[in-house]
Amino acid sequence: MTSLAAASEAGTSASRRTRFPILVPILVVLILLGVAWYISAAQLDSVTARMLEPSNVLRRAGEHAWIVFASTVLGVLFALPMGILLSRRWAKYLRTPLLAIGSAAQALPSIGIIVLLALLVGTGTNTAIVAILLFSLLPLLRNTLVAIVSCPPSVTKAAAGMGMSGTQILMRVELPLGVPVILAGWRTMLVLNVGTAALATLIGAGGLGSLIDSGMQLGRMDVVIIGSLLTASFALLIDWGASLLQRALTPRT
Amino acid sequence: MTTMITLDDISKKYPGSARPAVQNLNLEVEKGETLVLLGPSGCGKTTTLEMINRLVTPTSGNIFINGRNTSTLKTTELRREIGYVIQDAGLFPHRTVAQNIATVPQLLKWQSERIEERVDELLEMVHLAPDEYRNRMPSELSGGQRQRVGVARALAADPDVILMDEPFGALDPITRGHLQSEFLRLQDEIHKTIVFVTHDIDEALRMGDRIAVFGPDSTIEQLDTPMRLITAPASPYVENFVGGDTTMRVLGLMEVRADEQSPSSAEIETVESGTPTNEIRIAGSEVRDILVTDDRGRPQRWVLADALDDLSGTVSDLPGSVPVEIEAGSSMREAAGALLSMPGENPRAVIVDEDGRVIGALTLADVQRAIAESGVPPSEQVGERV
Repeated sequence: MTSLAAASEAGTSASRRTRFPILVPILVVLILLGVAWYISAAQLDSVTARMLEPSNVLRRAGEHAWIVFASTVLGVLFALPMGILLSRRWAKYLRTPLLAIGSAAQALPSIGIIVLLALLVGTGTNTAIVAILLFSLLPLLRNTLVAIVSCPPSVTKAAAGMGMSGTQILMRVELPLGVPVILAGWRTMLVLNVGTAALATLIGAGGLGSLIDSGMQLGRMDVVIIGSLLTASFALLIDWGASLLQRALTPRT
Repeated sequence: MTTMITLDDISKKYPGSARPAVQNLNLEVEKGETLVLLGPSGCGKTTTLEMINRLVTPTSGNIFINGRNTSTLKTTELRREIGYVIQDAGLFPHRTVAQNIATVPQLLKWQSERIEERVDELLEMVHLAPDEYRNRMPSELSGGQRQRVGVARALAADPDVILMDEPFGALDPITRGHLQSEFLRLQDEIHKTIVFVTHDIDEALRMGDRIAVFGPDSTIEQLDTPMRLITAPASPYVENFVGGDTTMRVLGLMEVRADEQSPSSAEIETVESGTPTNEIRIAGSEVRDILVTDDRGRPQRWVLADALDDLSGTVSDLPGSVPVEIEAGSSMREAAGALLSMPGENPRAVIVDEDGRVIGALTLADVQRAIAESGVPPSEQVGERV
């Protein structure tokens, strides 16, 4: 009995700690090394060289990171409380219509939202951030709601029966138990943001997408490819980091 | 006896349902008793229970605990003073056994050392070794162990009142039986006031000091002791719910005792092993079967009266048979089962105390007499079904 228990414990902790994902960072490092090698070694014409100048690439990457960061932080600040509010019993009848609106919004092409919003409020980084955030809210909102309302009723009943207040049940039981589902929604949001951020260049907000865009316009295929590779590496790296965070925060059950 | 919980004309009607879930219910629970709410599903027994800790708010009527009207108290504070155990335990899956048990003490902001001490004490109480189980997660426990933790969690802040909603309902019959007897033993020490909901008549008879049988129309059909419920059902509904098998159920409620309940006890003659046979013949004028015991009074062998003709040696030399032992306090139902499975025309078992010493004897005639005196209607005794 005890040896069995010990074995199963060892089993879970082993599956927890091994299989640390190293494939993605290795891949990203290889891509970056390849790009760096190409920029330094290849015979570039002056236009290409200017576009691929390290300071320019880094500036674009910085813009990209800022757009992703700002839209994600604002998205979490909005979607998480909203999901919690919708999970309350009094909001029961708001859930279906709001989720329907959210799904419909997500079905719109992101490029449409970005351009429309730019037409309405003007171009610039802030518009891009808001547009991107509108597009990626739904996964986190929906997962937060689902995580809370799908908490086993026997558990919430026991919690209430022992004298926890509504807030205590939320903070000590429903949210901790919902962490895996909420984090999955957050990760989806993040990946959507990284992808859509490549479109920010269309309304003058820069980002790695502008490498692709200007490469296309000036007919420099190598710039387009490098821009795409960098955007993809960025997305992979962010998703990898998010998966690590998800692992670390998921409670042991 | 003082009253611990009073339900005063309680009704509950859910919006949108035609019939009230509970209607004009009056009930008093005495301090230290276990009151079972028994009935089919949908009869309002769980609603009644949940109105006591205000998980359900009564539509009308008042509930008093220890003389205080519960509607005047803050619900969270009220609930922290009441232990609560539900089916499949409802443990928090993301918290360890110790953290689960510590829930209410933490809400009451106890010092952490006091909580740790209390957790270990409670784990001992429900027979889980603290060192082994303290840091386990609920998913690493069996169903029975989870329910033990559930009971420990309900007892954590030492509440006067404990509400139990089908606490053993999800367990297999063997585990359920174990937990029931353990809980009875625990209750003997802690004397809590317990309201216990079940739909299982045998569980009700076993656990309850009194049983309230709920009818289909959400009223109490009968509120009585287990014995009265079986022997004097107040209505055909109760009779039907309690079901047949009356005699065996009555026996299940009676304990084996070595007093006037089993007159054979007076007739038993014990002799310590090694006693010369001729001394026995002089001591007893009438020759009876004798029970040979060791020097501590524990039974060894029956020696039949016929064999006592041989006066040459000691009782230990005579032929005999191994006695069947029944511990005092076990149920008459078990004892009757043991007697019926023994060979011979007039089977008899030895009643021993907890140290295994002889204190009496039990025969089938004693069992029959006990049934007759319990007040079971005679027609039931032969098992006739009308």
